[in-house]
Amino acid sequence: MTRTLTPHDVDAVPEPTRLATGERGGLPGVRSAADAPPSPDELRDDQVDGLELSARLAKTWGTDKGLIGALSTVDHKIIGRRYIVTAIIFLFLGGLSAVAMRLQLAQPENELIGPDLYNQLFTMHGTTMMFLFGVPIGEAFAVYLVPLMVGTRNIAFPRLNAFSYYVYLFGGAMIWVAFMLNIGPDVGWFAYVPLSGPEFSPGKRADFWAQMITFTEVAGIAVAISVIVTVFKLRAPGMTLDRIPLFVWAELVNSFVIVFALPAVVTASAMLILDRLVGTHFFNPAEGGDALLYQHLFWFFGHPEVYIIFLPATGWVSAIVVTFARRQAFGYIALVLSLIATGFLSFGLWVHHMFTAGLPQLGASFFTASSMLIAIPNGIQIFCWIATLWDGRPIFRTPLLFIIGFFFIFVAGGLSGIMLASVPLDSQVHDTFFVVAHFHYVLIGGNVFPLLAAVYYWFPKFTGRMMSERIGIWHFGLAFIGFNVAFFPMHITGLMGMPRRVYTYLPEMGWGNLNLISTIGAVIFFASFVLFLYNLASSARRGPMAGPNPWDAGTLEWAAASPPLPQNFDRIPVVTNREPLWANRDSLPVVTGLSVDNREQIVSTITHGRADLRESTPEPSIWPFIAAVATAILFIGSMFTPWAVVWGSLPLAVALIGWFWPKMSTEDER
Amino acid sequence: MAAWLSRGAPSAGIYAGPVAWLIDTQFNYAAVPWVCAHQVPLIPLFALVMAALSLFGAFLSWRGYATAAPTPRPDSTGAGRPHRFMALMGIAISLLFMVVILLHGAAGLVFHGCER
Repeated sequence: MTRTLTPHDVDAVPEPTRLATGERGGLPGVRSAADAPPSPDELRDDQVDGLELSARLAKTWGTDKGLIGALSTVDHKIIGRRYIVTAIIFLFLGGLSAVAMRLQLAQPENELIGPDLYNQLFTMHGTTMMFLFGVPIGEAFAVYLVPLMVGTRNIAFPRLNAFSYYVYLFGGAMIWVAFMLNIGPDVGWFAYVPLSGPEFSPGKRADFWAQMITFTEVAGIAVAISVIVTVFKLRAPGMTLDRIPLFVWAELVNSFVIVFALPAVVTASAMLILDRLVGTHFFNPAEGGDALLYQHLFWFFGHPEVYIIFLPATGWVSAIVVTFARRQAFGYIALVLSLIATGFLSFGLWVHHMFTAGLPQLGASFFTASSMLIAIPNGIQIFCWIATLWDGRPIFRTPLLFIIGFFFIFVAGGLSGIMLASVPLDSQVHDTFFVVAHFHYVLIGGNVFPLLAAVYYWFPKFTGRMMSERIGIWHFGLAFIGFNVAFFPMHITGLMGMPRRVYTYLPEMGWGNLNLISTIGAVIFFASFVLFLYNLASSARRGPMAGPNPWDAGTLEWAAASPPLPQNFDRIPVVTNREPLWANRDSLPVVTGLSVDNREQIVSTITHGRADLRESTPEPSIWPFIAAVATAILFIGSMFTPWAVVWGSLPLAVALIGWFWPKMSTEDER
Repeated sequence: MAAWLSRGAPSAGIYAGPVAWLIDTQFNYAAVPWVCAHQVPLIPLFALVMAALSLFGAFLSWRGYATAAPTPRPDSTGAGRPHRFMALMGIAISLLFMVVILLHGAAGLVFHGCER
């Protein structure tokens, strides 16, 4: 149920009424085409109502049927759904490679998997989890949810967003096809030189790794730009900076971290390809290069990467904790402060990955200081969430169970992280299973458990159906027990001296029992995911109908239908509170005056969220898909010959010209 | 100038603190060989300057908070006044980064720069 804004609301939110009244805004004395009054011939959303309005908007914002229609879509929900499904498929592939490794390590001198395949497996596992799952899954949720949460109809730059998905898909498919052809990379997920250089890694294996980086980073940056612009410029009227949902803040900070971190690794991988393909010597000390430069470039990306994986999860946690605690977030300002501080500090920790590289201790100590102090904003977040639950009336449904699991696992990983920030301890346990245990506690605790919570929480919005609560509880139990049985013993095997990335070990080392326990835990953990998959599939077909707001949540995505219609909202909501649906339980105020027959959105001001302009957004187009194909041809070809960059740029140029060619459609006539 | 200082800028601390810390980190890391060679306590001195810069950001944010218009009325969550929100954020971030910078400086008091 909605109501149009009345003069009574003007005191709280005066600006949005401008769209309804026709009063002009902008700078005094400055006029532009945007100030022109709406065309009287154009049907507007204050002239129709109810089902007719929904149907007309759905036609305007919908996606055509058929293959061409599917490949041309610019609907953020369709692209977001594809992103989420693809990232979760990669999560399963990464998980399968982990189970294979654990089976190999279950007993000493096991001969299940040979050293070459093992090298490929741990490389594919790390690469998949970090680049094909960890980064994209956070962005995937942003693509689907951010436009809904800020109350707009599509993401900014929707064609760029569509392009990014295809680039990501092609990059991921390329490296997995290479692995299945037994030419998968075998140099570890960070592919240090000189191991990955031309001397020690002949053939194309390392090139597949390096070029996959280029694919996924292009995609990652493209989405980040879309998310930043969406949050800054497409928020619903009234959504001031201090009313932005915490999930959206998390995705905004995450996007900035992506924009500044990813170019470093793209640079590193491009220089590595140049060293391998055209004989440059960026990383060859014998010719004046510097092998340590690679580590600096990689970890300048690599440490923020940890927070790129964690920050979206903080958004999921905040959203779920608030909904199930049935109260506003405790310490909203402190939580946003923590997000921003974490985003900045994440760029000042990278050298703690290089403590054994022979750097001066004084230089290393600066990074120890920052590494320890990043625990402050992270600690603040944890205390705010606990306080929210403490002061609320928590309802323990499956999403909240996974959040409780996250608290235990992530805090344990954080504590071992503070230990590893100390140079003496880090030097002792470097490249042992202690580090493996630490970062799995941080990454699975900090991302996968919140992700599972998020899937249970937003599944009703994505599909219109509820997931099974009974299976969810079993899923949580198996996952929590399986994870801890698998990874806690690794702290001890690490302290006993077992190094990472060895495909077998001798019985005399005494690591056999602990490894067997870890393998049993890994199998239980994997079984929990099989249960999860079953729950997803069965609930999508037979789950109870959800309705728009099954959890009685307060943010705007729950004001849309489940699943949302192509236009998201029939009329754009006006925000007067951080939890708009709790503040306006009976009727959500809306703003009217947007076109019904054209894809029109409200562009708002950054700080106050004042409605500023009516702006048309791009219509579906096949060109982003064609451009992604051309990009893939260029990237893959350039692994074999530098001339591919020259000849490959021709089809890419054609695709880009087609993409931006004036179409004489409504969007170009404006 | 005086009017500008009095008026402040709500978001100044959000930029000043991290920028001071960024400069401090880069300068310190690059200066280690020089400190080792000359045995001059450059790191703590530079950290003090950068900490002052960070604190100045907090000052501007505080002035921005104090001079922000008291309207519109906040909603039931205290939100709806984004300038004050940004100012609080600026003050807190500047102070946090000032602590980090001072810790960097403290490292210069413990190590003389030649330890490997």
